[in-house]
Amino acid sequence: MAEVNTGEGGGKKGGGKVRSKKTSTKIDMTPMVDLAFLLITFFMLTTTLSKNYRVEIVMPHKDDINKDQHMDAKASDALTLLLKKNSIVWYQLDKNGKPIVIDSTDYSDKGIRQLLIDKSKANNKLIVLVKPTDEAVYKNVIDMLDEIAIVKLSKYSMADISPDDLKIMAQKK
Amino acid sequence: MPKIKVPRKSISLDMTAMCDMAFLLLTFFILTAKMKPAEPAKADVPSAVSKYEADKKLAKIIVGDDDRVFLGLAEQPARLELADLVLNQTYNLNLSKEELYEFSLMEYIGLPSSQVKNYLSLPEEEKGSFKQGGIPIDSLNNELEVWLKATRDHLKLKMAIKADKSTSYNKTVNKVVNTLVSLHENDINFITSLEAAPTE
Repeated sequence: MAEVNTGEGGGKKGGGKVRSKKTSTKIDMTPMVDLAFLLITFFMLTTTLSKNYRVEIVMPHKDDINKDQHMDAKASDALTLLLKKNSIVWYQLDKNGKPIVIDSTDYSDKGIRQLLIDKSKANNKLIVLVKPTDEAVYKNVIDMLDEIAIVKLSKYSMADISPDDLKIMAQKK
Repeated sequence: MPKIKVPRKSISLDMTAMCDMAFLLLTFFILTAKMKPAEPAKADVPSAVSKYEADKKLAKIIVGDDDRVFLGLAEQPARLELADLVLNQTYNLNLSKEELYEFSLMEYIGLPSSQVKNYLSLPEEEKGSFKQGGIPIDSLNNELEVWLKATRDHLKLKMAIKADKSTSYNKTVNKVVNTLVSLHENDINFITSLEAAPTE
């Protein structure tokens, strides 16, 4: 460190007692405090608070296949979403079970979210069916459920993909 | 004119007290922090806007990115009880008390019942690095169903699925969901991390 030696050194040359320099017993604690606070800050910032949240979905009962338990829903009210890895193929059926619109969209807020908003505005009885394809990963499903929660749809369900869905998906390509 | 010398006052403060306090805080935080047990498989959960907090006491069904399935219970006595119910009373492995205790020390249960004896017979130093194969969930041999039934009926715990983002849905997660549905657990909970809800 740059320090200028002043004082005692030059002046008293002759005689006199040689005094041992009195060293102070005080230690400068500043660097130690710095260090301690640095450590506290470091640990606080690197600690991730593990708080878990949950997304809930109610699955249909398995043994309720018997017809009388079924809620009546028109095929024309259903919007089927086939989840793929980076896109969603969706279709709607007419009264005879023929697909009227087949299109695809993506997971962005301009894509699927806008679609859900538009479709729920057009038909307040809308039922959304989510069907993950084999290439869909878990994140896709959660994203999809999340979008449904954001748009606040109340009628939705998850189902396994059927051969008919695969045929419709092939048409889109 | 003589200059008036102002006596110079030292501006250094006594830092000892501050230092004490800083280290006290540091020690406090370090000692109160609870380490998260290392998970047997990578399970990086996706984020969602849902603000429902998951219970700390949940039984977690962990699906790793390599499709292995584990059952995670936070409390060791619960694992001991469960191991006795499933391994001894269902699969008739006739494990001794010590063996059951040994088994319950594992934070995450992920052994097919056929491998439990193998694991327990391993020397101590190899147990740490032992890679569990995951609980079988095939339709022919659905051991997860047995574990979950015992968890629900005897431990009265709620269950939630904690899966990795990149796990194939149909291949594994769907099977876990179907297992829960076949136990009449129709409210399926997926563990997620929080993300900010979009502003309208």
